[in-house]
Amino acid sequence: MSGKNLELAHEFSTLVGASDLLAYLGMDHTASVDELRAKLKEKRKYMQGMQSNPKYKKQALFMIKHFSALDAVLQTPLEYIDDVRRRQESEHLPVLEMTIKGVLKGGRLTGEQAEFLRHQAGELGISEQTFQETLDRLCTEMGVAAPLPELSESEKASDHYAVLGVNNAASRDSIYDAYRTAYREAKGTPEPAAARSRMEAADQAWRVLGDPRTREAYDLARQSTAPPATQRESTPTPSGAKAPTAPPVRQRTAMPDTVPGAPRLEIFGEPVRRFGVANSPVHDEIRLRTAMPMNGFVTSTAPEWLRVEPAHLSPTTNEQTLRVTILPEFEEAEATGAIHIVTERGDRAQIVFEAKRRKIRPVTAFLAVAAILAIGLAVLLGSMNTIQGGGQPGLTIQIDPSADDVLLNSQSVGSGSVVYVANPPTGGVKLRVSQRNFRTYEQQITVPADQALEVPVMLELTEAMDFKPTAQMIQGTLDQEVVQKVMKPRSKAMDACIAIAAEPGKTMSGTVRIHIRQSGRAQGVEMEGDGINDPRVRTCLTRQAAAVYVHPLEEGDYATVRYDYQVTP
Amino acid sequence: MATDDEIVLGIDLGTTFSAMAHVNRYGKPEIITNAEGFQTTPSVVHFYDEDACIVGEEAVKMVVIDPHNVVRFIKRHMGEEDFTLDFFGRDYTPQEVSALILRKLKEDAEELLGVDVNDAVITVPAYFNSAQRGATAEAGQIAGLNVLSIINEPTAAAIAYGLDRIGGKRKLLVFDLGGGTFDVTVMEIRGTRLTTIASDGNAELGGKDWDDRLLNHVAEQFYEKFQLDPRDDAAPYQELYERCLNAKISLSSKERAVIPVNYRGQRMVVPITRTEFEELTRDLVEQCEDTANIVLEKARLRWEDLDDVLLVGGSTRMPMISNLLESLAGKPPAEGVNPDECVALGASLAGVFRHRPNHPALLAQRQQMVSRAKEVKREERKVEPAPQSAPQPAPDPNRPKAAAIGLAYGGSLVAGSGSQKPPEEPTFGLPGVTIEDATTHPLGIVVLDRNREERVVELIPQGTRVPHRYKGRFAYAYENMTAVRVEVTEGVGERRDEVTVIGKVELTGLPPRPRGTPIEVIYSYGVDQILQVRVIDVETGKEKEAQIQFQGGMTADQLSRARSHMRNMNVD
Repeated sequence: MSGKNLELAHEFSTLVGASDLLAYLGMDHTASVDELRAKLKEKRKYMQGMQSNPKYKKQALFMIKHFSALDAVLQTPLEYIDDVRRRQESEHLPVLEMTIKGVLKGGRLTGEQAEFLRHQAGELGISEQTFQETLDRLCTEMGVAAPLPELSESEKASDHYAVLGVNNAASRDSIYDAYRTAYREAKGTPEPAAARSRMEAADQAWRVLGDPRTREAYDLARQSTAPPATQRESTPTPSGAKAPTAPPVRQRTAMPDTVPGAPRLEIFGEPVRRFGVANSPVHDEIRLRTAMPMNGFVTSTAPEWLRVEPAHLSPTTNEQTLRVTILPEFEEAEATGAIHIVTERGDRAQIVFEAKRRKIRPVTAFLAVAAILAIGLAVLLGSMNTIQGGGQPGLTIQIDPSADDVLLNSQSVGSGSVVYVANPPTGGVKLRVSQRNFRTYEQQITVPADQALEVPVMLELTEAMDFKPTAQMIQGTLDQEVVQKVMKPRSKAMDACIAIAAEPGKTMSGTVRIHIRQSGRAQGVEMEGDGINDPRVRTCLTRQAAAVYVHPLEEGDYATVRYDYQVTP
Repeated sequence: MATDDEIVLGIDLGTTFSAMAHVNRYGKPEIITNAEGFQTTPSVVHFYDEDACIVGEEAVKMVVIDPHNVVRFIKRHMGEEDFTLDFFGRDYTPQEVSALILRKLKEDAEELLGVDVNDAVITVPAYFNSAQRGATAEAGQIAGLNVLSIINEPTAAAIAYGLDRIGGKRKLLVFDLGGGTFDVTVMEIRGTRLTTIASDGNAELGGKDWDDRLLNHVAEQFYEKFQLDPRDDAAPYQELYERCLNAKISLSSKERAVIPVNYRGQRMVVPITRTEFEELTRDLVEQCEDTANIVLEKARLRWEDLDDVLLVGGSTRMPMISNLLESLAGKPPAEGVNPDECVALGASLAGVFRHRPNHPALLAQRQQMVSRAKEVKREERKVEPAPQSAPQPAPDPNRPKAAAIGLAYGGSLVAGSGSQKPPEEPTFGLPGVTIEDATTHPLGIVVLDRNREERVVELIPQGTRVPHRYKGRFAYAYENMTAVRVEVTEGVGERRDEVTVIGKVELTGLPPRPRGTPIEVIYSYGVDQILQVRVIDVETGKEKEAQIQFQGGMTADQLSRARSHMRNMNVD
């Protein structure tokens, strides 16, 4: 079916203010194609009499002119309802896509990550099927192997093929037809309770079998749990009840059941925390305990100023600490954000952070710059390999300029310029830090069991940042929103680079131009302004610039990101 | 071959009403009344069976009883693609529905006149594009008529009006507001030559819009009171529409009217005054005013330059319209013209002028002119016995003197400037009038510009007097092309999707040559509104010629099928 017809059907639904054509016709999904078409024809005939009616003129003319398109759409109702669903969800789809892409950047997708994404999709009001489709598509695009969707116990337990009366080789279209028939029959059951349960069973069967991916998962689960013969025996009667005794399906991880009533996720400390923030970041931590060691995700609702590390719960321990950094990056005088913690079992917690901007006196401001300067120097020199830290045990990896991915024993633990691992594997650990434009850094480190360890990592550039656009090249455009996002966290570090050459009481200003090649990677940098003559500043800025990754250009040979700095001590 | 006094039916195929006329053998145009005895026939068709329908007054009555099988305002959909209406399992195109109306007119004319009528001239709004004109011609063909030409409504109206005013030089504004279409045309009558200077309009504006305003107003009041909307049901809507229409008509002569509404057991009487009605439709009137000003601007004229303002179409009976034009032009609109009939009358005259060059009335006129000229000469000789040596040249029969025409054209209609006394015995005749139309839509060609992007170049601008010939040179856009395609466009715009491609001419089998090889394109636009396109390869002299006719969207096959279906259709 042509997309144009679907487009017209959508336009028409909007025009008449109906959610879809079926609703407009006053029919539901149990209607057969012939019934739908007959109804549409009837409606058209009615509209013919309304075409001079000023109130109905538009829809009547639309109906008359595009009748064949609407008719064609109804001939393949399955395709149409899929399209309607996609359109309804398209509003929130970009958000989901971004989230998925963020997770897939790690290069793979684990079961709990998929679970987390599925949960997010649910929150956004995106159906299982669309979520699966999107996930599959993005996995293919980014070259990541996608796990099969997880089915709930009840979804695995029923014999959905039997509910719909189709064999397991049936096509999606015939399954849909069977679903409609089954649903209609169920609806006609005289006893209301039985009718409802049969309808629910049919709905569930369609939910599982209607989506190729869940169907595949379902088929696999059935194969692994019960031999087909017994499955056949336990086939539900046409009353549509679930299979009486569903054998337990494979357990994903051996998880002892918790004591009933005991909380499975506990957070220590205040659920709402308030901070006054001046020019320098403020740190806080969240201590939490889970009923058992389990995977989970930690996200911030305002990543631009509220950061949390690590982004995952460690599956090796049930007590852990999250490091929260509040950056003075919020626009208003006050900001509110939250850290969400979601475990693989679906437990959720939220800690609200309220940040208030504090007025800084000039002396404090100077001290702040001095502190940045000191850090910058320390990082630049990178003289020490390990720093024995006191207090909290854990591993902190300081990376200059920053990392796309940090792996401990090939397990991704995070990204950015500071990665904190609360419960690192102890003993000899293989550390691997990768970043575009930089050589991958690998080091064997020894992590002590009860002490904090800090590892500075200085990445080396793979290529010189000496690309300069020529007159023949065509300049492309960048998504300014993305540029903002990329440059905002980096601007602090770049200002710190320039602060290396700072003299007390002198304002420094200038411009850094980062040239982005077609691939979206920075390949060249040009600088001018105060402090640029200092080789340390140049090196530092070059390294920061090299870590900039925007997005591949849609057109043009290059693009330039301009960063104007003004550092006031 | 048609005999010279065979009837040419002039048909005004209107949105709400249609009328027809013919020129009698004495040269006088007459309205032909329909079988019901009325001057105009409602353009309404009621299908009551697979192969039977009613057209006209009777069909209007069915609107309330069987609203889903009645078609009104079909003219608004002429030339629209994909527009079909389904009656008793058969899809009808707008052409076919119009054909049923035309057939009713044709049959009624035959009955009244007692002769077969085949040839017809059908009028269309000046602003109709070629698809709409094509569809109108197709409707005529389906109805079994031989459509001699399609002419513009304002032109027809101007002929009817100007016939007894020929002679001087007059500028005329024709303001045509019908049931569903609107156009404004500035014309010039110079001698016997009738020229269109500028024209503009809106094929989507007409009396129907005034009715709708009234209807919406009433329906909203009803809804406010009862939370019921009579527009939601077909039959009550049609009933209310009829009442609003009648109220609109009575508001043209009375200060106030009442509209009774009766829907789902609830009753309400909505009173409306003329002032309220004018308030409701103020923007529509402003739209008319804007269009009129635009046309005058196009014609480079001011309101005071106009000699006459001619009101055509039933909707101009509304006082707000005649007041508007009176205030704009500073003088009352021309009187003595029936806005419902003049288009049909003019169309029948145009049919004779164009297609019956030897009509008895025209011949009589010429003869009289010759004898008149002789008489004048004789008289002159009598008064001044040979003061000049050179003989006075004989008057050109195509450009007769004003006085002569005024006298010759049936005594009662005299309006000439001549001081001559009318002749003793009544004479009959018809002066030949030359009609010069202008294009209402620009015609262009699709070319590739310097960046090899498609662009539309206007070759014949809007308002060009026809006949017109354009000759221009184009060049190969690429090297080694072996064929060139000329795509003829209609409409305003530089991009291909803004205009309509109305025809293509392809010249093939050319030798491969470099970029820039010249190709000549000639567009000839004739009075019959047929565009002749010639594409000539300058170097080899190879050429291709094609006629671009208006296409209403139906193929020859569809037309012949429609015609056979219509033949079997019962039209009452």
